[in-house]
Amino acid sequence: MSVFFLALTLTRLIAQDRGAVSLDYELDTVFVVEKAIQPSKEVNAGARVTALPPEILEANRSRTLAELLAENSVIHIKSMGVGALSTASFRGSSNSQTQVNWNGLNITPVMAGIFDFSQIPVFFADKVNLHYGSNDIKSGTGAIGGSVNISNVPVWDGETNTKISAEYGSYHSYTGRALMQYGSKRSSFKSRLYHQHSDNNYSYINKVLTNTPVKEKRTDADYDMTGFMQEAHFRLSDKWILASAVWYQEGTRMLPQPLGVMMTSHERQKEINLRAYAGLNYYQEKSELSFKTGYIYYKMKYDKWHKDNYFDPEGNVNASKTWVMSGDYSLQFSKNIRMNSSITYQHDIANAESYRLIDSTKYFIDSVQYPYPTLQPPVLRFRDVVSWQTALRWQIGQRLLADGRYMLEHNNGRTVSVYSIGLVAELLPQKLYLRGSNSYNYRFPSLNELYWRPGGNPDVLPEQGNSFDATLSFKTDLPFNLTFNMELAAYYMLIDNWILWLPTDKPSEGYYQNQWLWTPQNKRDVRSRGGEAFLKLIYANDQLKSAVTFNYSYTSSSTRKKQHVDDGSFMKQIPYVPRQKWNILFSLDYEKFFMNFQAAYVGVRYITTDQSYYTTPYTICNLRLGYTFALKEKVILQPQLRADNLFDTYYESTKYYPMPLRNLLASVVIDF
Amino acid sequence: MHKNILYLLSSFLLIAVLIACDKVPDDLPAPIGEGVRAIVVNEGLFTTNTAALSLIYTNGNVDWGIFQTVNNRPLGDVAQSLTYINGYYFLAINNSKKIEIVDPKTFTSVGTILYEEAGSPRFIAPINDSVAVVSDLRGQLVKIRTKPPYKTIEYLKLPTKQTGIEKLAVAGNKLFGVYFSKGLAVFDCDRVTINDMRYIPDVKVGENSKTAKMITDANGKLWVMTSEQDQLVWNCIDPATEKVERKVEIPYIKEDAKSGDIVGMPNYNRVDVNPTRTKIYFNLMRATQDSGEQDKMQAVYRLDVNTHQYEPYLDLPGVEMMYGMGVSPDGEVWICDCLDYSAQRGYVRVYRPQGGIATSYRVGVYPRMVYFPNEELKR
Repeated sequence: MSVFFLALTLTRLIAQDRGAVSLDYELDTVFVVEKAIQPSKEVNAGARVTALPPEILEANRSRTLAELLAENSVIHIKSMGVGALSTASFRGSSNSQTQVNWNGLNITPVMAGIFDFSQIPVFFADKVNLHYGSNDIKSGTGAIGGSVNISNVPVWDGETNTKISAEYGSYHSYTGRALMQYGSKRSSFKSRLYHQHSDNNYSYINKVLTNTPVKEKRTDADYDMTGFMQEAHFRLSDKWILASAVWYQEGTRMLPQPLGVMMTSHERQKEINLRAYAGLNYYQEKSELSFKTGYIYYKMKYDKWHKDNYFDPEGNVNASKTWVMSGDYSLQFSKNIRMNSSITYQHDIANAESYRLIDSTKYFIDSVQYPYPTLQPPVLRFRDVVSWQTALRWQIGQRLLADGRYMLEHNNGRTVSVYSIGLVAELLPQKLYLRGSNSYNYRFPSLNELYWRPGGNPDVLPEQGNSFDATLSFKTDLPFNLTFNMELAAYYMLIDNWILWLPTDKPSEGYYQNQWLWTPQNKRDVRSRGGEAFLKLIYANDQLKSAVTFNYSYTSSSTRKKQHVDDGSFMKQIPYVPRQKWNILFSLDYEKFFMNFQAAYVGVRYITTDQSYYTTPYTICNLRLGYTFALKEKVILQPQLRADNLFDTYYESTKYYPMPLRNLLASVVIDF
Repeated sequence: MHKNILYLLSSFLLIAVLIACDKVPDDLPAPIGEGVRAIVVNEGLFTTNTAALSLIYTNGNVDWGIFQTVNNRPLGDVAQSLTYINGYYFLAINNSKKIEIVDPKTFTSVGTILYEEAGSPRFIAPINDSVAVVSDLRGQLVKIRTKPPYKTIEYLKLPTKQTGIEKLAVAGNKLFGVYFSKGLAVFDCDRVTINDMRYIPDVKVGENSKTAKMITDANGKLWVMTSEQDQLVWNCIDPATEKVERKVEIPYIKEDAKSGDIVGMPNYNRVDVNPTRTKIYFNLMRATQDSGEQDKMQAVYRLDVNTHQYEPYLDLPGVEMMYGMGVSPDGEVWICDCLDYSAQRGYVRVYRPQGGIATSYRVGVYPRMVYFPNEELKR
């Protein structure tokens, strides 16, 4: 099956060619209700899906997906600083239960199993859709909490267009980016180039290390990020479309230490990501067939060295490769029933120094000196995943749509079944919709959880998630050119066999005796429930367009079983899951002037499982101003000014990792 | 209707923004109680500055984070040990790479020694009235001043970089250090230099006994635990001659063990001594059934430094992965329970000498050391 959104786009184009009318009902918050069955969706129609609006993506082109999601969604982002590790969690789940797909290709790292959103510039995304709950089973298991779907859109019949932008700001931060696109009836090309650097040496007051507060500059937080993406799409005939893309990205960053730690050593991480896919899609009146192959390469080099250079430097190189092949077939059985089936094969290889059995401190035990082993080459570990998915979408009468999905996955010897079922009801025509879904999903342990040494546990079980949710969506036009959108969602999730790294006194592979190794264990059963609200009021006339957007989430995510009698984590909030989070965005476009003002609040987050320690809640405000000049007929110049953390708030996304205070960035975009 | 929707929306937004803010949890409780019965050093969760000092008062109340309460800042990241020197507590904070000096009555910080070079401070031993040696996770020792101005004096680089000396003890004006895999390192207190370091090579402490502290007994002898595959050995060393003058061997019954037989020792043994320094407490594994090695439990044993006899002192049913142990002046055994290291505050379990848990105290995250202050330090 081709990528969902790509397929959707292409399908729409073809549908338009045929004179058909797309009946998708797509808002900023997408709640797809179809009066006629459209080609299969990647996710259950009963699930909550939101799309980040294009104007938000455009306003954040030089920022990362981590910053974008932190300030414009209800997903919680845990960040160790700008440019530093930033992970995402949905609805009280863990960051490893969030799956990331790029044009339908699952790009969640197979080794760590956790996606770092600080390494994805928004510039590389044409669309960002968020799938909530465990419903996303099309791209394999793993999305217990939800999934982030990044997609690119071809430009058929578009003019040749180039966009160049440069930005410079506080802490010697600069970003350069260029986009060239060309589209004709038969082909579409997009090329993107991106580079960002920041010294990231902002000041703050350290009140932690000693009794005397000290104003100091953040050290070891500088980073560089460079990326390139090439897309090529070809309409081979009226029925055949070839889609392909290559995305190369590399980043080098220092790893900052928390406050309270003397900086006597330095850590650096260099990462390379190469992602590529090619897909061939065949369309007929009532069916479509597609084949796709993808390749993902990841390499991470970690180095640590010490200030005085007496102790030896440390480091490792770990890499992984993934090949994916899939075939997908959709058939319109009747006017009201459509089915889809796909089969996917994925082969992962980890080539990891960290999977070697080396621990130089453990070779003198019980008075016996064991020989130091010769350094082994990196260890190869493999994983094969075959999955079969089938889906049925059924329009029941005028106002009811049912959707059912099932997937069977065989993952390195283990076979699991997952499903997702959903209903959509149109309560008031074109105004009020109610959707609901139930899904069951798994997350297989990452390769690190299985094979990391010391501690990797080949016997650790997959995590399981069962989620229920309901979403009420409302849209209406109001007088005075106003439009009002609202979405209210409630959910209930049970996540079992949650994997935690905890010490064990049991024997470990290759070790001479038990030595309290930290190893992944299935130690937590979690219940998460909560609600989400989305409100948007839009005003538009010929000269002025303005909107207020509000996102709110309440999350109660806690353990529901005691591990022992005195377990203080029982019924306590999962660490780093805020109970409350909201953000509000006011945007104004008046003729050629535009501005955004945004406030984002993150509530208390606990550090420990028993809520003994917490991080302080914070509200961050950002302001962006800009003006559009039309220099010549085809040249547009757009200077912008951005002030992040406008009110100079001290805050920490991760406890004791200070975030930047007020910082200013100026940029110019040239479009020709 | 439309007007109403607008009003509703505006009101909702206003109310939502105003009320949708969390209440910040209450601060740590204020100090309570009188008379400190025990001080617990809590390691805390790595990289979160959740190391803490917990006070257990004689009335049973617990102030689980006294340092934060008094100093309005966290103790640091990964607390390792507490040592009483020159009237103050010196706390080695491993990952913070610093030593906090704390007033024993008020628990205010009177100074902080920050490492300028790489290191992970572990244990501290004073070698004279103004200098102490700090051991390290890896191959170095660090000399610090124990009188104002508090600071590091010298970084002594050991011959090995990745492993080094952790446990320290002073006996007979000599500094002894357990040099992992090399033997027992010895320095003269007035000449702690690498050139003057020598070894007692036949006292080799391995992985699982490296957590056992060395004991200087009432006779001035130094007791060092070593562990072999089939026995635990207490080495009695004469500091003057730097020789092992006696070995107390405690063999394990590996086959056909009967209930009560000693079948091994727990990984990472813990050791303490009574106030008169005549009895050493340590841990062994005892068979609980006649069937053999599989059914076993931890038990505290006691070694008499004069008679060299050892005997079972207290069974510890259900105790696994013990992170710290102290024996109170009353003979109670205080066990640190980290609750499976599941990122939460742990407990100190107090066992009566006659058996059974007398009480439990909820302390900080990952308790690792129990210290019983001298009478004059009690608040």
